[in-house]
Amino acid sequence: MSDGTMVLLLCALPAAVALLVSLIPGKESCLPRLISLLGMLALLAMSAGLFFGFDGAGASGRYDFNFAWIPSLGVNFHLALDGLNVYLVLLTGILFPVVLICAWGSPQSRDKLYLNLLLILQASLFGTFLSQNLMLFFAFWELVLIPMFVLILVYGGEKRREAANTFFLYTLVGSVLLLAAVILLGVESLRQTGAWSFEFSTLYALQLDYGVQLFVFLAVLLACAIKCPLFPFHSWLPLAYSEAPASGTAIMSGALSKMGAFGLLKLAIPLAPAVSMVAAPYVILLAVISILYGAVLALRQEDFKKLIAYSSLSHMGYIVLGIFSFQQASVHGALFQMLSHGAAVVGLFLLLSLLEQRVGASYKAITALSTLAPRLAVTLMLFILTSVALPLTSGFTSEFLILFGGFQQGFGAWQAGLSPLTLVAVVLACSGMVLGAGYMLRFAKVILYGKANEDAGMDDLNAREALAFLPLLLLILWVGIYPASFMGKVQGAVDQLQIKVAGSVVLPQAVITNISKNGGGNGH
Amino acid sequence: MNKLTLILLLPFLGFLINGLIGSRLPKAAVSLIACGMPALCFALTWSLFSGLYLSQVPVVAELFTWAAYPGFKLEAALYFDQISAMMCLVVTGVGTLIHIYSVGYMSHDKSFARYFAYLNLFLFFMLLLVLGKNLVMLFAGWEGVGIASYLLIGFWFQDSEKTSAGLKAFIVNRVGDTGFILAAFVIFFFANTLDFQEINSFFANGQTPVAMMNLIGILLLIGACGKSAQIPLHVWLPDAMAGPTPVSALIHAATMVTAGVYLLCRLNGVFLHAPGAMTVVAYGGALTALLGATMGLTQYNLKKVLAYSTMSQIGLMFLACGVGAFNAALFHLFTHAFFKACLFLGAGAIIHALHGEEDMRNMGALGKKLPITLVTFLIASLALSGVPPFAGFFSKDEILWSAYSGVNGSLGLWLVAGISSFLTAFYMFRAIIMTFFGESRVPARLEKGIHEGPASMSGVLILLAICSATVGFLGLPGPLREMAGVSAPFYDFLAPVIGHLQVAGVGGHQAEGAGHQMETLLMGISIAVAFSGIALAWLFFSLRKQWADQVKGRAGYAYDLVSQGYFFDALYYVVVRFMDWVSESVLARRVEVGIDAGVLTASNNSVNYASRLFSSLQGGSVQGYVLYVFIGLALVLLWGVLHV
Repeated sequence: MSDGTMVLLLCALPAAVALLVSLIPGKESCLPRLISLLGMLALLAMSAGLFFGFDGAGASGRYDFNFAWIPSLGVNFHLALDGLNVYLVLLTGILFPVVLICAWGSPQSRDKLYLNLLLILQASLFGTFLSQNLMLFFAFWELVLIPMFVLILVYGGEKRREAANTFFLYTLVGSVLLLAAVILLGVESLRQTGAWSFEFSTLYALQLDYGVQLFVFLAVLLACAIKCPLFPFHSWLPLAYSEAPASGTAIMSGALSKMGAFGLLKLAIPLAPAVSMVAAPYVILLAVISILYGAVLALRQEDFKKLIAYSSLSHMGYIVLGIFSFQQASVHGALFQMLSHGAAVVGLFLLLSLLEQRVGASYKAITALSTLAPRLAVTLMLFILTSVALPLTSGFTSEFLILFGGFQQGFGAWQAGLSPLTLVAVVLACSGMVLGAGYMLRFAKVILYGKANEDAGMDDLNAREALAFLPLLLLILWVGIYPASFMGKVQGAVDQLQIKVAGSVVLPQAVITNISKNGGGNGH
Repeated sequence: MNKLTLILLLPFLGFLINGLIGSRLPKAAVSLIACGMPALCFALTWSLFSGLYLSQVPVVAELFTWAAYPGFKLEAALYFDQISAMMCLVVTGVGTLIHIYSVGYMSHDKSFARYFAYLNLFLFFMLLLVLGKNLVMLFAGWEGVGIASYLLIGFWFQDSEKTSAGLKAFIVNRVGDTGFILAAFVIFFFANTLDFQEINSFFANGQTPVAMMNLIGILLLIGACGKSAQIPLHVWLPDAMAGPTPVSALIHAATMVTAGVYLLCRLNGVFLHAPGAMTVVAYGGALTALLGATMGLTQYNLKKVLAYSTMSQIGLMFLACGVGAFNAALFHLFTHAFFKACLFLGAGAIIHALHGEEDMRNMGALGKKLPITLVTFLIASLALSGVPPFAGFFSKDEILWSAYSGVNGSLGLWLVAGISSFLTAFYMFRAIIMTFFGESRVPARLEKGIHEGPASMSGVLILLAICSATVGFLGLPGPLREMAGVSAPFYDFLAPVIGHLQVAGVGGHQAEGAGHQMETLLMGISIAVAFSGIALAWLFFSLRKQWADQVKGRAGYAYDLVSQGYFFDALYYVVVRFMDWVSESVLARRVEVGIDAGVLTASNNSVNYASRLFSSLQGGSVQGYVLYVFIGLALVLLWGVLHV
């Protein structure tokens, strides 16, 4: 099988399995569940295979599938693996089987609709990340919403209707301007090259004037700030995260939120580099407000799910901070943070869902887990420590690189006599280290420690569940201990991004030299 | 695999074995693994050390590249030079002894294997800290020992007070860690490297602006303050005594809390060019030494007395660093590890005998029942108080002398250090008298069966006491060296990595001969100070007991101030409550609600308004439609006129 077909399969296989599952007769059969899992495991194997086969030189077109779909409009069904999406493909591959295995015992896992929704979600997520055509990207971007909306609406908690509506409308609003930007870019392509094209490679090469860049940037920023989310566009988040079914929350926080960050990397910066450069300090400010706002709110959350929702807001802020620091280190860190946050937050939400499966709604009052279910407690602690960014976990690798790069950028700007805004923002973001430890360890204290009720019994983590968390933990430790092994894969993409930004010369020379000094070619 | 890597990995292996399957292994196997690993580490360290001692060539082990992108490469590498060697010997040596002691101490605990797993994990991170070749490796160990400390303080996690103490320790440490990480960032900005040797040699050329050097120094100091319990980040240490006593001995006395001193010495090349930061280090250390000692005066909990004493002693080490006497700081770190571990383990033996009682008001007359503990505790206390010829005398005297004669040295600093030494002698003998002598105040239920611990415990106590009595001779002060005609192996060993910054720093402060006379004089005074502290304690708590109460009564508010730890805790309590208030009352109840209302409700309303507007446009009125047609026509015409 050629590598291009593999890329297509990532997108097509889940859809095919979804179709197959819905054709199986009978309501109580276990077969759909099993087939879905097998499909997801196959996808995991494929995405892992692609990930390890990918060497960073993806531009050669080895992992590329291109099919002219609507040639007259320049819409191609073009999927390819590149440096920007390679982590996210791996993450998407890992998350779904983990989610399904954790939901294995629940009644919904026998539901064909549920399985269908998961599979379609996976297909559209793969599509979003792999698209190399803007129109295709937009189609997948929107498609993701639908299964998620239904998932919340059908399987959610008490306030599921409200949560689903808010989530759907909110994110949809963000996309309206994005569509306008997409069309505008198509028109620009027509004007400059004489033909419609939505291929990213064509769009990146266009010479866009400042006004167009500004519009594109703002449209993309709004859409992504809602998806991520960033303060103050996060209103949908606590409600959606706490009302969605466990698997929905896990996927939303683990993969959907990454679409926002991915959009910034894929659209905002390469398409509007000049505006990105000017807007960077303000976006960074917004990111840092998110970091602190989420962290402070999480300090006093008694509802575990909301606590993790706010912590997620905080952690996503780091990604945006990293992206808009434009330093090699910080962009690497942002990419790592996508993996790291994806693995950690999914682990946390799924462990909470296991507790909910065991004791029902009263899981919110659980304490002394260390006594009741030691294996579960240890697993939970590992995910908590990742969120706290303890060294040797992926959380540290990513936050360190982000803050490191951000600081070099901010300090350099300050030393060069420019605005100290970025520096102040990054230093404030560092205080997130303290707050993060505060809310996560408070959470640990409440849920893990204390006196166990004599009569309260609880099943510990069984082998199936333990197996489900294994890939997440492996990923966390691997990125924590040996990140260099992954960095080569995305190096090309990070370089591209830097060239884009540094090429948009509307900036004082000082910043540019600083970028090339600290991010580019400083000898060691 | 080379020895250096093995030193690091063995404790981790122990952690994995005991952590994963320890609960299914017999206790003997768990203890063997747990004690065997550090013992092996010690043997390996010793062989590396003897090699280093002869060859003077540091050992480097490059493991792998941790992170790399064009222009940046961070190696995961280990480095074994004189400072690391000394630290490593202390960590593995004292560590092994405390592991062995723990076998006896924890023998009745249900979570025996978990305890040793954590202890080995701690050792792994501590060794990572002292062996790391760059700031990131050190930071990994730095945070790692923090989490191991968190887990061990809250070891008995059913008790909410203990887990809170662990939480507090980690959070306060994190405040320091933030300073540390910022320091690393600034260092990289200038030096373009995170490797210790390269950093020290880069800053040696002195091209970086002094203001920036001071900034780096202060940020590093914040980091060191967190880990080493220096004012104002010391509040976690007394609470950390909630952990099992051997943990207090290992982590909160001998090794982890001294990591801050290690950091300052490791980066001495930076500090030597940051005069402002040095001054802050010196005065901060002196302040901690003094306040710590006063707080030790008023405690009734035996372990807390020792905790405040640790804080105060580390303050002295910081003081030494601040006046440029990094080697004196390291020597005190070295001797302190032995006698403070001995003291904590002695306290552990008492607590073990009394089934967990820690309050000295419920002790007394234990000397007869616990003779080994008494003798070892006494020797270690004499060492701590600075009575010759015990170890603490030599190291503390070197610091006192440096406080007077070093870079920032002054009579004032010497005086502060001297007063805290006096207080140290006083509170230690107060503790000894209250615990071992006088009449018994032990509650009747605990009275029965007070006995010495098993051989593993007593043996370790004796070994540590012997060390406390003797290791001081490794670093005799100048005048004594001259008198005896010997050298000081400790200082000689460290000399290649840390210059013995003497009077030269002040520029002809005193001639060499006069310096020795002065030093001898000050030495005499400090011996007198130690004895008078002991004598005063004996007077107050043995001969004229009513005096103690009278003084306490007279002191009034001052006593409250000191016994409440100068209300630092209250201050932090206010900060934490404020954050909680912001979180709950401001952000959750107002801002979040406001944003929800603003975004969701407002957009809802505007959609409603727009829909009403558009539907009213299509109200069916023909005049209206005609009007729209004319408006439209007018707009088209206007556009035509403008564009033609």
